[in-house]
Amino acid sequence: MVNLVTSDNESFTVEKAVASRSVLIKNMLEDVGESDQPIPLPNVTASVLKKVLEYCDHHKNEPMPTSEDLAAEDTRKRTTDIGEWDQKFIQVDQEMLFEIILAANYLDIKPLLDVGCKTVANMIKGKTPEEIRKLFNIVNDFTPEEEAQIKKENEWAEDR
Amino acid sequence: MSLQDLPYDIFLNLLGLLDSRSLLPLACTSRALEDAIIPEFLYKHVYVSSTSGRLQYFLHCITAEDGPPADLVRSLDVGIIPARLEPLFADALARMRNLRDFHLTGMAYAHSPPESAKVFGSLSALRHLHLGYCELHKLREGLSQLQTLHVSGNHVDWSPMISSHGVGMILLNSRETLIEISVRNGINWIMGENPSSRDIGAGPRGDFRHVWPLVHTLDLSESTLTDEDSPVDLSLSFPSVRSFGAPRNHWAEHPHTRLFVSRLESFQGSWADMKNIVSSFSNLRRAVIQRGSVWGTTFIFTEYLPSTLESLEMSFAGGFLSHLDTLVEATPNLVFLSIELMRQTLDELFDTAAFLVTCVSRLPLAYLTFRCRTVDLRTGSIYTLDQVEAEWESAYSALKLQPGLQAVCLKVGKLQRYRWRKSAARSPFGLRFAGGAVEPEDTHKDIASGQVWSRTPLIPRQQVMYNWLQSRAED
Repeated sequence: MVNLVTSDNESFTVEKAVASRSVLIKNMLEDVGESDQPIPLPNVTASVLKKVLEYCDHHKNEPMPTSEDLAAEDTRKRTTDIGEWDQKFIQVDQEMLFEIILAANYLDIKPLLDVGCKTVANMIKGKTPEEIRKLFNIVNDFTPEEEAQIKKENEWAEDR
Repeated sequence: MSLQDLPYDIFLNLLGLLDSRSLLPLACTSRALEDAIIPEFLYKHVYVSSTSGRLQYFLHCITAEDGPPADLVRSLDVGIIPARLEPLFADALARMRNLRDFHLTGMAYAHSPPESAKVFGSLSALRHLHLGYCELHKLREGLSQLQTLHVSGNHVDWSPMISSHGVGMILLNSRETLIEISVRNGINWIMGENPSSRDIGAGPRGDFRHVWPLVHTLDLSESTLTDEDSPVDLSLSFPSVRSFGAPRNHWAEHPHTRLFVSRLESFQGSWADMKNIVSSFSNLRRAVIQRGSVWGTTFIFTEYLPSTLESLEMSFAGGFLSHLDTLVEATPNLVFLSIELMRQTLDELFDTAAFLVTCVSRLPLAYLTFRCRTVDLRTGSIYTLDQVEAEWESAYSALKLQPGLQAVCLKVGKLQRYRWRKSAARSPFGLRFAGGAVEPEDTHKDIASGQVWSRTPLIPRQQVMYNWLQSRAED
C-alpha cells in the first residue's frame, strides 16, 4: 500500500498498482523503495486526487503505455473518441475538469491527460466564438471590426 | 481555472486535437488566442478542399502582398487542383519555402508542363510527399532529401515510371534519405532503366545506383516493379525493408529474394506469393493476404503461412474454409485474425460457424473479425436460413466466452452482425487500438506490428494533425 498526502493535508492509502498509474509516483517508489513514508503531493487537492485515484483504480489492471506506444501514438492519427467508462468518469464541472488535467499532467498519467484534453476539444468543436467565450469565460478584447477581419482573412478554414 | 490557465504544452496538445474548422472560432475569441493559433496552427497545417471556392480564396490570401506569410505553411493538403487555379497554385507553392509535407490528390492544368511542376524542384524543405493522380513525369528538376514518398495511380498517359524524370527521378534523388516508399495502384516502375540521360550524373551499371539504404516500408501493391533485362534484386536495392507490399508482377525471381524476404516483419500480397516464399520468412509477424480463391482446392494453411505470424488478415474470392483447422497448426502464435470471404452458401456458412469456434479455441487469439460479403440463398440447401442464424448466434456466444479474446466482429452478409469487445481492451504486442473506440473491423488501419499498412489512406484532416505532431517532434 502507498500513502499519499494532498496539499490540503488529507492522506489517501491506496494499492501500489493504483498509485503506480502515475509515472511520477511510480518513479518515486522505485527510487526510494518500499517505505511507510507518505508521499506528499503539494500540487493536488484532496477532491481532485480522489477523482484521479478513481480513474487509476478502474484502469489499474491495464498494461502501462510503453514509450514505444506513446511514440507510435504521435505518429498515428489522433481522434477525440473517448472510451465509455472514461466518458462517464469525466462528466464533471469545468473547474474540476481543468484540475484533473493539471493533476494528470503533474502526476504524469498520460491516458488521463488525453481523456481530459479530448473532452475539452470536444467542448470546443462546432461552437461559435461567442459560445466558446461564454463557455470558458474568455474576455473578448477585439473590436467587432477586428474580429470580422480575422474571420474574413481566414475564411477558407471554415470549409470542413 | 480556465482554458487560458493551462500550461502551454497542454494547450498545444489540445490544439492538436482540433481541426481548422474549430480552431478558427477559437482564434476569434480573444487576442491571446489569436496570437497563439493563427500563425502557429491555422497556417502551419493547411487542409483545403477544392470542391468549393475555398481553395481559390486560400490561394489568394497566401499570395496577397499583405496576406499571411506563405512561409508559415509547413504542411499542405489540397485535394484536386482545377486547371484554372493551377498557375495561382504554382505561385503560392513557390512562396511556401518551409513546406515539409505536401499532399496532392490530383491536378489539372492548362499548359504543359504545368506551372507547378516547375516550382516543385525549389521546395527544398519538403520531406514528405503524397501524390495522387498527377502528371509530374514532366518534372525535370528533382526533389531530394525526401523521407516519405507516396504515389498512387498512374501518370496520365500510362507511361512507365523511370529514373530519368518525374517521380522516378525524385525516388532516385532522395535515395539516401527515403524511409518510406509507396508506389501503388497501377504504376509500372522500371527501376533498372539505365540512365543514359545526362541530367542525373549517370554511373555505369553495377554502381548500385538503385539502392535505398534506409527504406523500411515499401508498398508496391497493385503496381509493377521490373528491371530492364533481369529480375530486380530487392535485397540489394532495399536492404532495410521490414514491411513490404508485393507488386502485381513476379517479383521473387532473383536468387537473393530469400534474403530480402527473411528480413520482413510485415507482408502484404497474394496467396500465390505466400506459397512461393513461405519457407524464406524468418521474422514475419504480420501478413495481409488478398487475391485468390479456394474454390475446389484443398487449402492447407501450413503451405502458405509461416509459424511466426501474430497477425493475419486474409481474404478469399470464394470458397469454403474446410481446412480452417490447419490454421491452428500453421500459426500457433496468432493474436489477430481477420477473415473475409466474398460469398458462401447457407450450408457452408453453417459449417464455418462451428469451424471458427473450434479454431479460435485453439489459438491465442485476442481479436477476431469474420466477414462474409454475400450469402448465397440458393434453394436445395440442407440448412434453412433460421438454422444458420441460430448457429451463428451460438457461435457468437461461444466466442465471447473464450478467455483470451478481447474483441469479436462477425458480419454475415446482410443477415447478421455481431460486435463485442471487452471493456477497455488493450491488445498485447504491437496490435493496438486507438483510444478504445475502434471496432475490430477497423483495425486493419490501426494495427502496427512493424509498420502501419492502411488499405485506405488516413483521412487528410487527421493526417494534417498527425503531421503537426510529427513536425513538432522534429523541430
